[in-house]
Amino acid sequence: MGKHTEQREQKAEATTFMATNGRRQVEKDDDDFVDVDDSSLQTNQANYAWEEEYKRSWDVLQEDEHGSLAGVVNSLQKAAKRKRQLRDTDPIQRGIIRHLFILIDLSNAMQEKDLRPSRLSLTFTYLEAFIAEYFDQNPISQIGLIGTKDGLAEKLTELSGNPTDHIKALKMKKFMETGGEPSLQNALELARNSLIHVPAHGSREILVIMGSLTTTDPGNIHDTIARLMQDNIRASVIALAAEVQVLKFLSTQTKGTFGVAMNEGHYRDLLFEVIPPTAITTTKASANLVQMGFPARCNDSAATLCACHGKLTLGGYKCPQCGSKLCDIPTECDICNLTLVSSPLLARSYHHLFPVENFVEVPWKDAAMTTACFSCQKTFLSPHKVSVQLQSTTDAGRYQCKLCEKTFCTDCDVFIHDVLHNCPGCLSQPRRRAGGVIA
Amino acid sequence: MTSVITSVCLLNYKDDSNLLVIVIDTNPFEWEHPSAPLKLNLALKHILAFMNAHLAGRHDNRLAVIASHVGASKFLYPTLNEPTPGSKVQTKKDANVYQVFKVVNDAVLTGIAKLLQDPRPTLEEKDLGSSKIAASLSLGLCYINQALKSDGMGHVKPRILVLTVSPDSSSDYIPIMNCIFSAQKANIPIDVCKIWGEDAVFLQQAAHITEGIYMRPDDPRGLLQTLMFSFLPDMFSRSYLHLPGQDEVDFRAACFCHKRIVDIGFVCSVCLSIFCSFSPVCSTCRTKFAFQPLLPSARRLGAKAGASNPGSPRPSSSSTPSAS
Amino acid sequence: MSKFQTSIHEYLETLPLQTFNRLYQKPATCLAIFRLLPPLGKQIIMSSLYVDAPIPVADMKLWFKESTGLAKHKEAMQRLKALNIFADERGNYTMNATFLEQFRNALTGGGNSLSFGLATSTPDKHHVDIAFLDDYATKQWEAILHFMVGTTEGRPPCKGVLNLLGRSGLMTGGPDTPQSDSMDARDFANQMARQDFGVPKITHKGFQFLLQDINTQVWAFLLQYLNMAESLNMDLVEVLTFFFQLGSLELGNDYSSETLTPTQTHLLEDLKAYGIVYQRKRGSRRFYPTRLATTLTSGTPVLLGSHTNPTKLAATAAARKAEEEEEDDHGFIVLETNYRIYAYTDSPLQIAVLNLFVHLRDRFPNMVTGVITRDSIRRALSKGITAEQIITYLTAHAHAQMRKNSPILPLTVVDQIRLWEIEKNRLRPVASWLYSQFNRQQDFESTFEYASELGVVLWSNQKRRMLCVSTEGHQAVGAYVRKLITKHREQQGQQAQQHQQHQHQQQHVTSVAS
Repeated sequence: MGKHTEQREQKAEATTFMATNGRRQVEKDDDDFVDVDDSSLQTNQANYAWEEEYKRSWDVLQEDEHGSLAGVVNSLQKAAKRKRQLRDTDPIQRGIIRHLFILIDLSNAMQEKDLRPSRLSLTFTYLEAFIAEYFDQNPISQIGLIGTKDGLAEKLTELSGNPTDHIKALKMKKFMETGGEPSLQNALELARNSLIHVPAHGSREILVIMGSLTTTDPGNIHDTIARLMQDNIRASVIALAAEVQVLKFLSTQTKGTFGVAMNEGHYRDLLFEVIPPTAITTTKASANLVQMGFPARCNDSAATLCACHGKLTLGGYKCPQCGSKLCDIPTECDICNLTLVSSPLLARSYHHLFPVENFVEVPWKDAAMTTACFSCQKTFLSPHKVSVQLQSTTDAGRYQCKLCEKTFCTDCDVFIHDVLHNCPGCLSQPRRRAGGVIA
Repeated sequence: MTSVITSVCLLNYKDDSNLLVIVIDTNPFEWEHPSAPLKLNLALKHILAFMNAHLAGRHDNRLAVIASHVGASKFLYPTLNEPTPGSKVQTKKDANVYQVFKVVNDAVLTGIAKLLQDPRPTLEEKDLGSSKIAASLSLGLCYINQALKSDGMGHVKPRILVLTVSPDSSSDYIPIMNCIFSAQKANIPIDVCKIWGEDAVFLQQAAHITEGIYMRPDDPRGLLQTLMFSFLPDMFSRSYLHLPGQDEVDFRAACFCHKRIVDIGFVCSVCLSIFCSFSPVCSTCRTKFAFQPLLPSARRLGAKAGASNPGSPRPSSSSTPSAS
Repeated sequence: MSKFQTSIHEYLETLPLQTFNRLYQKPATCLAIFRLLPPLGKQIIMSSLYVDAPIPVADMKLWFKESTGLAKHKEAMQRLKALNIFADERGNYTMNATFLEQFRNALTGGGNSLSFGLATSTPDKHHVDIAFLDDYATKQWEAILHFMVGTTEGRPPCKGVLNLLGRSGLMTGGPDTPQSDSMDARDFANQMARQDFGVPKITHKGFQFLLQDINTQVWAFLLQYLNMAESLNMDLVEVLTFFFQLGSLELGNDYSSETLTPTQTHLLEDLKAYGIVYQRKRGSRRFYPTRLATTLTSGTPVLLGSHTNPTKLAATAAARKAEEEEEDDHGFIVLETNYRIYAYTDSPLQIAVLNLFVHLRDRFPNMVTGVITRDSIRRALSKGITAEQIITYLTAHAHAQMRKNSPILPLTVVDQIRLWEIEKNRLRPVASWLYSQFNRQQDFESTFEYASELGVVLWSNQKRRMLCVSTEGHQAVGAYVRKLITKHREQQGQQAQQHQQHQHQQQHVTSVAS
């Protein structure tokens, strides 16, 4: 990654990229270093993978004065909890029907081995996990993949809501080949052309994963960025090599995020930050109510024609509005244009809307009140059996829900907030609030 | 050599013990309804025999029983003040009963008796929700989560069986869905036996999504036979057996505004909340909507849309799709 | 995999119908036998337990998936029929009426058979807790094992045990005495009991025995006891019933011995010697089952008390306790890919067992280290221990840390142990028939095809037109060849040429190492 300024002869306006991470890159190179606000980097004190000291995993653990690891393990657990608490629990508006294009750099720069085993294979491994998790959290959203190499951009997959399609594409050998230079502009234009057709109620997003410091563009990239802004497309960028001015500019202009992966773990964190539905950014996005149907699955004894392919099939889904049979959901009914989804798909994302309140930790002095976890029946450590000394370094392992005042163990606390998203205590109580009457 | 290795693997697979979590719906309004084909105490006899059959299957088979009552949900077995088997002070021994069975049966019977003795839930609460299936499922999942954690070797195969008589409580829609997805993630099948009455839409979806079994027995009085035949086989046996499948699954949802179960609804594009009628502001995320809902049907079919849903307003003759 | 494990099933299957009918009179026995069945066998019983009419054979087949289930169904039904639980009558399956009734009783707690053990009505003055029982069982059982491996620990077991050891062929007299299989067991037992001819030696079977888990060992012992019971004029049914009853008792409780029959009282005495039950003094009115007894029908390996932590046993909830025991487990062996073994044990017995196939290097207060070598494995193999037994033993006793791996044992070591065994068994004689001198290639090929369809081809050579067929297949293949010959004769009748096909019987030697 030596030369970071490179002029391409085809176009006069060949983009100039500037590596401005303020560290090694600059010292080594000439002086067209442009001071860009690198506060995003300063907040994170960790070094790049290649600069890092040799780290032993056991260094993290330190015995307390009694030679026990219990305290350390506890504090690690606490740290994880804190992280969760920091997570935003406000049920604010999130554009959940998302349309996301992932632009993958497939240039030779992706063969670099500074991220092990290589930038490319790590990217593909992470993307697989990313796609699975993305659809888990954004069930009726869609993804498309675009690859760029040799100055061209190519769609690896169309925008679709089926995770297996994308994961299959990622596993195909031919997409793993790299070559030449990437073309950022071509890739962005390709993504833009596909995204402007999506309905206005959905969000339009692009995620750029860039390993190269240069790009081969046919025109002025700033025009493209302006068009992206105009079309309300957010572009977020993860750079694998260094901070590049034009990428940063792209993300700030389109209200996306920008990050430089420092090591494998950090790369993953950056990538997975994209998964939670982002808050609506513009007031222009027209929110609306969309009419949707929840069809029932039916099994006919005799084959009938389906409305979508005109083939004879046995089973299918009946559109509740016009009664025509469709092969698969989610889809749009071909006859009456009603959007058909399975209600469980929608329900997958409801925990974002109604998150479980964080539980509060019960101090040792109140610990004697409870003997066992409400939800898993595990008995708690009695405070009488724990020495005062030990009590000062550990916590009681009890967490209380503020609403129902039931107490839970650490395992259940984690399970309830991370997986279940229901408070068993609150659900077990007679409902008090006067709500709508059920028919 | 490979054959040797596979046979060892198979052996390991067979060695799995089963953890069965039974959720019993004890809703007295349904059980004591004059038209109920089966009384609770009779049904309990069937259920107890079924529990024993499960425990008889393997010495390390485990069981948890949760009551889903009106306005409460609690563990019947294991309970916290369960007597230690080693201690002398416990229920009188009966040489005719296998001790393991007796402990469980006694715990379940006393637990249910205690529940029924408690002051009757007031009528208002009955209106607000039938039995607490979602709470019981949540408890069961937490229990399984803990059991799997402490098992460590991954030998325990958990599953959940819901025995229910109550109709769907649509206010439980979201919690039940949350339970379904956590069960699906952890590969825990949820079996559902709707002993009588209408199909339970949400639980049907639960069984469908988690690849469990959903059944509504033809004759509730033959409950035990249904349980033994369809719900006793563990995951290992199920791979060899023909078990009742689901032909038709209802994917309907409950709307957030009136808790009605709808098949066509209005979905907020910001938060995906479902409403049965158009309103200018989303009650969940406070988004203000454009005045005309997006009615794709209106574009093509005119006024036909929404006819099947009495709650939804008739679409006006022309809706203007927002320009994009 | 070993003859010990399946033996209780096999033993039961040899019993006559009348014995079964008497056995099934006790709900506890029904339950215990039920637990011994394969999973689908259990399911068949449960599915038909509350169906009052006989089930047509064809109907039951419909319960199973065609692709996978039918084979399992056949296997399960075979077992059920062998145990006389089901009978096939005119195309209907009917369940044994006694079994049906008593098994229903077992599930619902009906009847008045008192088969689950009558608890004593008064508390014991001499309180006995679980830790004590575990300790007692361990001491008694390990004393027997110690005696077998020849360590000097513990006192030598009593006469009854010695008798049983000899009878079961686990131990034999001096080096001059022939294998116990061939010698008169009674004489041997007398000799053993008198102990007048030097130290008894452990046999091949004994070594294999040592590598089994405790549950299998106990059953092996009890089966031997059953065999002996017949000759002692004890009632088989009563003995079996008592064994199964023991399996359903609860650890840590005392049971009354008053309802026992004289045979069973006698039995109690013997079981005391093995550490299966505890009785404070002879003729006491109460007895305690130990862990060896309560886990008899569980089918899972038991641990002996020496490895359980007494403080953990004091935990309150029963479920939790079971978990902790499982966690605690009796794993103590760590095996590395470099063939090194670290065994966290100070039990001379475990060390002696390990010494059978490990070259032990160092001994520390709480552990021994050693290495598995070709020599150490060959030494074990020469004692009649199989590679499979060694692997099973190592797997069963793997340390909790090792259990997190998948597979538990390093593959390199497992494969190498198997290779060492195969290396030893390169040649294996198989009785077979050789077909040769086929005159025409088509004849050979059609015969070969026919034999392959039957699955009886052991070896063949296309070029030389030779074919080896197992003895079972000889009759069919021979008939086929004869038919071929006669066909040719008819076809080529005018030609004087005749096929001469010779059959040779040969001792065929198959190479197994390939």
